[in-house]
Amino acid sequence: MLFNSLEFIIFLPIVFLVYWFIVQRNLKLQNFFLLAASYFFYGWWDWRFLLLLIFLALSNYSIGLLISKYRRKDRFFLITGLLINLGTLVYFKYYNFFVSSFVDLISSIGYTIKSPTINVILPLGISFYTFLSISYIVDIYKNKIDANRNIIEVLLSLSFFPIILAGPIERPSSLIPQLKKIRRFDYNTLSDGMRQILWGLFTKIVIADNLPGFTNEIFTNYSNLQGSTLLLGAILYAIQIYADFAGYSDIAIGTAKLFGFKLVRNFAYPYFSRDITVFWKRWHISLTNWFRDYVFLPIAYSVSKKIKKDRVLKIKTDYIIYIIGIILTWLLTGLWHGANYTFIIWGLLHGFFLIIYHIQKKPRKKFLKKIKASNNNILIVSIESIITFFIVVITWIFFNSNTVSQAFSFIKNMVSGSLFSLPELGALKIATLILIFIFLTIEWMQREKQHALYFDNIKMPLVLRWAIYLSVFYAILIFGAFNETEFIYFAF
Amino acid sequence: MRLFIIKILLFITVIVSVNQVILFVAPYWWGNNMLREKMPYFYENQDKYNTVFLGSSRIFRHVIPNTFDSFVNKRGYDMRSFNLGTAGAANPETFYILRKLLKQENLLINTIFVEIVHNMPIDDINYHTSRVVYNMDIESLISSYRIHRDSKFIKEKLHKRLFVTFAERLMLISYMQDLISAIFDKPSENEYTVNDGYLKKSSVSAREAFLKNPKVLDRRIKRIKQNFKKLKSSKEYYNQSYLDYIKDLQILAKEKNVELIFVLTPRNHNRDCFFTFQHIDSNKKIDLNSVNKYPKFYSEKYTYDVGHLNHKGAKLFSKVLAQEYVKMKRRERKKKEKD
Repeated sequence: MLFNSLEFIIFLPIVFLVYWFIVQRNLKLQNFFLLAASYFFYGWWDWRFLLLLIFLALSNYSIGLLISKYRRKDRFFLITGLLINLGTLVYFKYYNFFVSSFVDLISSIGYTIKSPTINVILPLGISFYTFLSISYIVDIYKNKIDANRNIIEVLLSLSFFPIILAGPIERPSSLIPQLKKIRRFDYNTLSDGMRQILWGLFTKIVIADNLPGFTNEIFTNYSNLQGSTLLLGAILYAIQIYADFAGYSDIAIGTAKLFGFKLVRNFAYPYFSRDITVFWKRWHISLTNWFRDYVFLPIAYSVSKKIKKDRVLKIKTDYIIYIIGIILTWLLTGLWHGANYTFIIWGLLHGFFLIIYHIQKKPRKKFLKKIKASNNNILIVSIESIITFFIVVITWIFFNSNTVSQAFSFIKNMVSGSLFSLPELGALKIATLILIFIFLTIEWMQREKQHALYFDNIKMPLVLRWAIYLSVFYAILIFGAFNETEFIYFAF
Repeated sequence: MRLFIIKILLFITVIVSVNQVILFVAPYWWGNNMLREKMPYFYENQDKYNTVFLGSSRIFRHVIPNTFDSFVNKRGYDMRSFNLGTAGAANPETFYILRKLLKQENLLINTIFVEIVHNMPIDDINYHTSRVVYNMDIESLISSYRIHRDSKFIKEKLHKRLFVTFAERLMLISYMQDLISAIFDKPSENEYTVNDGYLKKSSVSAREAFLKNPKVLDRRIKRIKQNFKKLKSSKEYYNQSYLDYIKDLQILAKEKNVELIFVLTPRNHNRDCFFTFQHIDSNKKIDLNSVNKYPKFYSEKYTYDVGHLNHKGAKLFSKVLAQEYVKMKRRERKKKEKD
C-alpha cells in the first residue's frame, strides 16, 4: 500500500479510529491490533512476501532469545542470525548482480560459463526490515538491550507499518520501549503528526512527482542536450530524490505520531549543509547512523586493534583507520542502495569526499587563522554550502544513471562549452520551478524545526494557522501530480 | 480526542464546501476536453441550431451535420444540427450531458439524437481523470450504479470505481488543474467546432493497428450477427435500470417539447445496449446496427478502423441516418392522418 494511494486514505482512518476508540485502554490489544494492521498493510502488496516478513521476524525473535541464553559461550547464534538476515537480503537483492559480475569476470579472461541467474521479485522494504532485524540481534548480543520474550512486541517492532516499506530505520532498541507503555491520546502529538503528514504529501506530490517527466528525459537523452540543460536536470534530480524521500519520511513519522509513537528524524534539511559530513548527518539519518554503529565503528575498532604503530608509511594511524573504515562503510552503503556498480561508485565517491574533508580539516583551520577569517563568515559558509551541494549533485548523476559509463558521459557532456548557455526547459513548467523555490524557502525558514509545518512553540492565531493548512492542501490539489508514483526508495 | 476529531472533520468540511463552490462556478462539461471546446461554441451560436447529436465517437466521427441537414431540408424538414458527440463517451456521460441540456432554461433546440452506447461506467483509461466528471453528479452516480449493477454482459464489476470517483469529487483530488483551466481558460475555436462538431477520424495508430490485423472487423461482424440471432431467441433480456433512466429522460424531454430520437450505430457490438435498445418504449428509434440491412457500413471501403467509418463512410452514414429520420417522420405523419 502506498502512502499516496487511495487505499491508504481509507486504511489510515479505520486503523486510527479502532486504535483510539476500541483498543486504547489495553496495551496488549493496542500492540496486537497494530501488528494485525501492519501485516494487512504489507500483505496488501503481496501476501506471499508477508510470509517472508513473518518468517524473518519469528527467526529473529527466536535467535534473540538464544543469543541471550548462550551469549557468553560463543557467537554461533549471532552468526546464524546474521546469515539468515543477510542471506535473505543477498538472495533477493544481490544474487543476480553477483552472479552476472562473476560471469563477466570469467568471460573477460577468455572463459564462457552459463549465467545461472534467477527471476525473482524484490520484496518491498526488504533492505529496511533486514536492517531492523540485524540491529535487534546485534544489540542483544552487545547487551544493549535484553531479548524480549513478548513475541507481539518483537514482531511489531520489526514490521510496524509506517516504517516497514522505506524506514526510517527505527531500531527495536528504540521502538520496543515505546511498545511497552500504553499510548495515551495526546492532542499536540497527534496534531503535529497531521501537519507533518500534510507537509510530506506536499513534498511528495507537488515537488517530487512533478519532476520525473523532466529529469527522466534528461537522463535518457543526455547525449543530445546542452551542458546547462544537463546541469539543470542533475540539480532537479537532487531536489526530486530529496522531496521524494523526505516527503515519505515525513508521512511515515507523522503517521507514527498519530498512534502515539515518536520515531527518529530521517532528514534535517540536508541541502543546507556546509560540508559533506554535515550533509550525512542530515540525509537519511537513520541509515547513516545504522552504518556508523554496525559497520564503521566495528571496522574501525578491529583495525585499531591490529595496528599498534602511531604511523604506517608515514601516515598517522588515525587516518588509516578512518580511511579503511570509510571506504568499506561507503562501499556497503552504495551496495545497500542497489545491485549496480553505479551505486557502488556513488557510495565510494561520498566516502572519498568524506576522507578529503577529514584530511583538510586541520590545514583549513590554519588557513582561516592565517587570513583572519571567522569560521562562521557568511561568505565562507555560503561558498562551502554551494560546493557541498554541487558535490552531492555530481554523485546523484551516478546514482540515477543506468551504467557507470553513462554517468561519465553525462558529466562529460555537462562540463562543456554549452554549460553557460540558457538551459532548455522542455517538459518542465515554470510553475514547478516557482514551487521548488517556495518549497526551499519555507524549508530554509523552518530549518531549525523538526519539520516545515512545526508550529508548536509559535503563538500563531488560529485563523492564520488554518489558512496555512488550507493553502498547503490546495497547493497539493492544484499543483500536485496525482499519478500514485512509487517512492524512489521503495526500489532499495 | 473529541477536539482533534472535530477539527479534522471541520477541515474536511471546509474543503468540501469550498470545492462545491468551485464546482458550482465551473461549467458542467469541464471534464471533457472536446466538450470544453464544443459546448461554449454551441451555446454562443445556439440560435443557429435546432438539433443536436449526442453520443460516442460513433456519433462524433460519423455524423456530418451539413450532409444530414441538406438531405432532410430538401425533403421539407427544417433541421440545423450540431454534433456534440465525443470520443470514448459511454452512456453515463452521454446521458449526463443530455440531462443537463434538457434541464437548461431557454433551450432553443427541439430535436436531440441520442446514441445508445455501452454501459461501462468508467474505462481504465479514464479512471482518476476529470473525464469521469459525469459520475460526480449524484443523480448520474446513482443511475450509473443501477445500470451497471443490472448489466448481465459486463464481466468486470466496477462499482468501486463509481464511489471512488465520487469521493475524489468531494475532495477534488486530481481534478483541480482541469477544473481551473475550464473556468478560466478561454476555449480556442479549433477543429472540433469547424464542421459543426464533426471531425473525421485521423488517428494514425488506430488505422495502422487495423491494417495490421483487418480480420478484427470480421470478428466484430460475427459478434453483431450473433446479437441479432440471440435477439430472436432471448427477447426477454433487457436492462431495466437502463430503460428506467431512458424513461425519465423521455419525460424530461417531453416537458421541454424536445423530440428525443434514439440511435443504434453500426459497429457497436455491445450486447447490453443492443438488447436494451430493442425494449425502449418509443417509435422514435433508428437502428443502423444491422449487418444484413446495412452491409456497406461494414465494408472495407468505408472503414477507418474496427470501430469507425472513414470520411466516405461518415458521409454515407449521415445520409442513411437522414433517410431513416425522414421515413420515421413520414410514418408519424401517416399515423396522425389515420388517427
